[in-house]
Amino acid sequence: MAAEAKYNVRELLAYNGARVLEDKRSVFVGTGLPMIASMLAQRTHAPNLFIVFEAGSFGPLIPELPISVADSRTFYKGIAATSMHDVMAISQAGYVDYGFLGAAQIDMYGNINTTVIGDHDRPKVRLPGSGGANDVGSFSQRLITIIANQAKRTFVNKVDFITTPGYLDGPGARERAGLAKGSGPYRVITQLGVYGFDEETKRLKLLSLHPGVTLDEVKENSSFEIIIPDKVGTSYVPTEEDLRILRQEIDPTGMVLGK
Amino acid sequence: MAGKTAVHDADLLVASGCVNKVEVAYCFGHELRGLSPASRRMVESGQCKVIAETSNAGHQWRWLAGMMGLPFIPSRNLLGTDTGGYSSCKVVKDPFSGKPINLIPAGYPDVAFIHVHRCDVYGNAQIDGIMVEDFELSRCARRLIITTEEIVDNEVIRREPWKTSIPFFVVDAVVEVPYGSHPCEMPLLYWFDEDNIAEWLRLSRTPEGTDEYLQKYVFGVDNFEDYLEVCGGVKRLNYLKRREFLREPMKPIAYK
Repeated sequence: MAAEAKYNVRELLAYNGARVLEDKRSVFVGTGLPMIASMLAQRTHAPNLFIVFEAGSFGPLIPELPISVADSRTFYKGIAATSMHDVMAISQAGYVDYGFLGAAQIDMYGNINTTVIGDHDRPKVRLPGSGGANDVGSFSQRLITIIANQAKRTFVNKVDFITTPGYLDGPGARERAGLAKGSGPYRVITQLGVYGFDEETKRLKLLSLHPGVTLDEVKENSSFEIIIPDKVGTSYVPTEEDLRILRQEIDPTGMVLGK
Repeated sequence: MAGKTAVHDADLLVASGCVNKVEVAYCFGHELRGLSPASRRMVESGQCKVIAETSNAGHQWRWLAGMMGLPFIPSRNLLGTDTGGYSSCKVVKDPFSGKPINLIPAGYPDVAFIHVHRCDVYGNAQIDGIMVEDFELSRCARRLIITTEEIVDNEVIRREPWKTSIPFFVVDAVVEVPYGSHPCEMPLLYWFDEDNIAEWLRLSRTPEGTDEYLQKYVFGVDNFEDYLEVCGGVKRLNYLKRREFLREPMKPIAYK
């Protein structure tokens, strides 16, 4: 890392997540870092970001970090407090631009596991399951995923369980399975860099390295081969003002960013 | 049990051994607070079986098909994944387009409990804020028990009938339980009691701690009002009201 790191890894993840989001676009937000990133985007470059929460919220102006995707902070000053059926149906109809999730494991096609580590019926670690993740990954035009700890055991050749669809087993697989054309994974953000997907092969491709991170670190911390293009950028770094908003306004107790 | 957006409620039931089979959309976790130690222990040791997986929309639309009196609802989620493979859904060829389409079977829970802001003695209920699944769930459950913050006069319901989200004819029982959502939130009334939930998450790391919590808050009290006293009484509830309306700041809490 840089000699004087003024931010921690989770702040960098949140900031780079926020930078993917655009003003006047909609995002279906999952729990954890995606919430923080979306709140930051709304308070900085994307004041008209239209946030959607699965429990029934359209367009809130989130006042403080929600502790659940269903708590009253998620519909604070929204344009509608409605139902899960409404939100899921609208998403399925193709209204939502971005989906934004956290994950435990991912493979080269962006398939995500948040269900179980080990065998399903004899789990080593039982995780909460899909929640709304499978729906977000099925319905969103562009799926953004944050994985805070890229390593060989989280960037795997085959996820233990495909909870949420990425590009499944390659080009055309989503369409063959019956998922909406043109939808799918868009960005993956880890503590090492920001990734996209190669248009032809639908495989994970490095877009930018975080400051101080080397290509070798990226390769060493993955079980599968990541596509490395000739030109790799440097990730965004939060400003003092971004850090102030993250630390003082969004997560003052460090519940997520202080982990 | 239908583990749909199931957090503290499901964790208590699984941890105390009341549940041995779950259909999971979201279960065994406490969102930002972390995983549920007790529920994980029950599942990882085989005492509680996950008999099917689904997603939140997958569960939601089981209720939708149920309330509509239909055998299934077609959908475009769950396709191509293990979540779909471990679900009760079937993928068929859409007779119109020829493309694959997922069919979600109707769900009819034997019993559903829904806590509402207010209802009359007949069960005509109003819910403030987001509805999550309550509209569909209330209409597909075989038995529905409404717990309510307050019972109001039927005239209150009739004055603004557009606010009724659950009509009396799907309701089997009404129970008046002020603060009945504690230690969870009741939107626009009181916030999550994070100290209580954190105490549960810390204690439930061991079976002995789980028993200690249940003894203190469930078996050791005579009724719900006694429970609220053990939780800190009026002083605590007033704090939770101020937290709900952002008049108290977030504070650091040790969940582990």
